[in-house]
Amino acid sequence: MDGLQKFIENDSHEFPDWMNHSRESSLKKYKEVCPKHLKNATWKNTKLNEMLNDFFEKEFSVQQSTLDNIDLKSNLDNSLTIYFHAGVFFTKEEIPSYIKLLNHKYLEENQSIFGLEDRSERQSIPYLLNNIVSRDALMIDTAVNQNVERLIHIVYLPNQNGNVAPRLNINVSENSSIKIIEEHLQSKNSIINHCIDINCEATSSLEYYKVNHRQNDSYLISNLNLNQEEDTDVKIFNLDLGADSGSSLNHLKLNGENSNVACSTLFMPSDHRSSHQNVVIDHLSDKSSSSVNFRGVINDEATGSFFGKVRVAKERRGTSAFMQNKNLLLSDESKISTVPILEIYNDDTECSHSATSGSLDKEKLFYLKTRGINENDAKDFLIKSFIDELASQIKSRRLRDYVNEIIAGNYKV
Amino acid sequence: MSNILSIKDLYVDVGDTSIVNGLNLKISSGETHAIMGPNGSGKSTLAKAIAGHPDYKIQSGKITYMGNDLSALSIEERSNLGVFLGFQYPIEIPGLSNTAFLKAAINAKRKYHGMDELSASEFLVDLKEKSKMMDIEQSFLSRGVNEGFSGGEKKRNEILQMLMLEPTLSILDETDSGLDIDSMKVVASGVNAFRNKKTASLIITHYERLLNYITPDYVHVFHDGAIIKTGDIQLAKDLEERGYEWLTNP
Ligand SMILES: Nc1ncnc2c1ncn2[C@@H]1O[C@H](COP(=O)(O)OP(=O)(O)OP(=O)(O)O)[C@@H](O)[C@H]1O
Ligand SMILES: [Mg+2]
Repeated sequence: MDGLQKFIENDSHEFPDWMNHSRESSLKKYKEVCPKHLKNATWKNTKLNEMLNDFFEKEFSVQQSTLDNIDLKSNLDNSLTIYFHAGVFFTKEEIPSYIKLLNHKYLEENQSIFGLEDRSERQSIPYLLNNIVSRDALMIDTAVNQNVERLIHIVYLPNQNGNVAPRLNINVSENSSIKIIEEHLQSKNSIINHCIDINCEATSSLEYYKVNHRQNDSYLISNLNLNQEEDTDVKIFNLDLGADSGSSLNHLKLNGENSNVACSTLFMPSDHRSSHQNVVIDHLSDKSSSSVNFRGVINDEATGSFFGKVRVAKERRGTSAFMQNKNLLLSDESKISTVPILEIYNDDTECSHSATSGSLDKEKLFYLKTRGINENDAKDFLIKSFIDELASQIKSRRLRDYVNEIIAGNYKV
Repeated sequence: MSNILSIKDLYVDVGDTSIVNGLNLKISSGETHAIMGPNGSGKSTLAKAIAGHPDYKIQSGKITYMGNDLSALSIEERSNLGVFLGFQYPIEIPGLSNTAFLKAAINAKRKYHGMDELSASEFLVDLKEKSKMMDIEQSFLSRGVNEGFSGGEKKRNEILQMLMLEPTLSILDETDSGLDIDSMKVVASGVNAFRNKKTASLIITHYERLLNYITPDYVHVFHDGAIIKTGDIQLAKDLEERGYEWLTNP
């Protein structure tokens, strides 16, 4: 933790007092919660503190790499692309009124984004860390009844020795809708600490996608907090290709009647990477429904894990909760662990959960081969079909194609 | 008439158990052979050993297919050279559509024989015609391979695959079990459409019923991993009436 201390002390940027204060109190809190939190399932197999220390001990002049040789071209036509590099968000376009980039200009009114008060998740490792090291935040706040037609594409450009700590705050206002895709391009020797808070007001809808490309010698901590009011519909799809040590935490709260969330993740670590997936769903209101679908494809010496928990309080009626985790192990050295938990305290809930892990099915391979298909193609078909069962659920055709293309370029049999 | 399959003194093990025990069989082009035998006598084991399943190990003896020693060929090579196995329990592969699967299979065979890929339109015309013949709706073809298919639909889908792949030797493992009369007729018409001077079939069945539609040239009785009696359609009728007892426990 001395590394983080040193980082704050050496940061040459002039922050307003409240921000300096927030950073320091976050560090204090971080030191306080660490001993306890690092023992829990999410972090115990990671070397978080060693990693952070090593990383933040060093001088930060190196990370001011230039953008000169980076091609700022979105491969998603017609989307509004916002980039993130060297700690700041920027775009080449005119920023519409519902989007705000802090650009280091922390205002009094932004304080609540970094506040630690009243919310337990704000006192978690990812948030505290993000409070300490982040430099910029992006806010999206749609207008009431606004249907944002353009896809918002947020691109985290490649880094070397980068401290990549974006903070996002999204409010989907009443009866509005929006589609967002975030994409972390490949970095090296970096720490990515991504925190996003999403609030969906009544009768709003959101499609949220996140792609984490393969990270090299990097640490990834990704955190999503979602709150949904009544009659809201949220679809989340994550693709995670792994980092040296990668953890994703999703906390989804269904806080209004008829709020529905579908959260799918495809995690595919290879080589010696890891991808640890955590999802917690809280059904805080009646008639809320959740569908969690996580699939892991673990190759080489990679490690994956799934931890999923659905909680339905005693007094909640008419909820439905579905949770599934399926994993495919592609090599003898690959590892997976899966823990699905349903904490349901009443009978008026329709729920199911299942978890399976295994290597490619021998009988399926045999069947394909008896039809003349060779070993490699047969394996390829089976992996693809496993992936496709999940990816085909992506609602937007264009994003489905986009995600499929990324997947295709990222696995080998 | 040329020799298609010749099995000589074959022993096949599953794990440590010998399941096929000294089997001899010769099948020539144009012929249809039926194998009948009690449950667990090793019929599927024989079929899988011919197709090349890695768990079914040939301990001794030899299987020769069109002059090739089968044990020297991979599973896919056997298929590409014209061996087809219709599964007793067809496998479901969700996420891989029947159409994509069939196309890959056909093109794998063409590639093996140094031919160009089949054009999309030629493929679709062929598929449409044959799936109609097998009474399989177009909408089924875009579903995952056998995914959610009923027992009978799976069996008809096996025959569709056979018709699309145009094999030389077709081994059908209980393709008739679980079929209603209409499906049985459909399957039989598919098999009959496949029969000609150059092809041969080996039909594994428990019922004489199917053999009324597909008249076999030979009927073999299988017991404890070997053929204990060979006859014609009359033998199947006798078995239907008297069971296996009179042969196995004379
Ligand atoms: N993969 C396997 N592992 C263990 N035992 C096996 C395996 N496959 C077959 N056997 C055993 O070998 C014997 C023959 O099985 P096989 O499936 O060949 O019989 P069959 O004649 O096809 O029977 P049925 O008429 O019921 O289909 C059985 O005792 C079966 O339990
Ligand atoms: Mg059998």
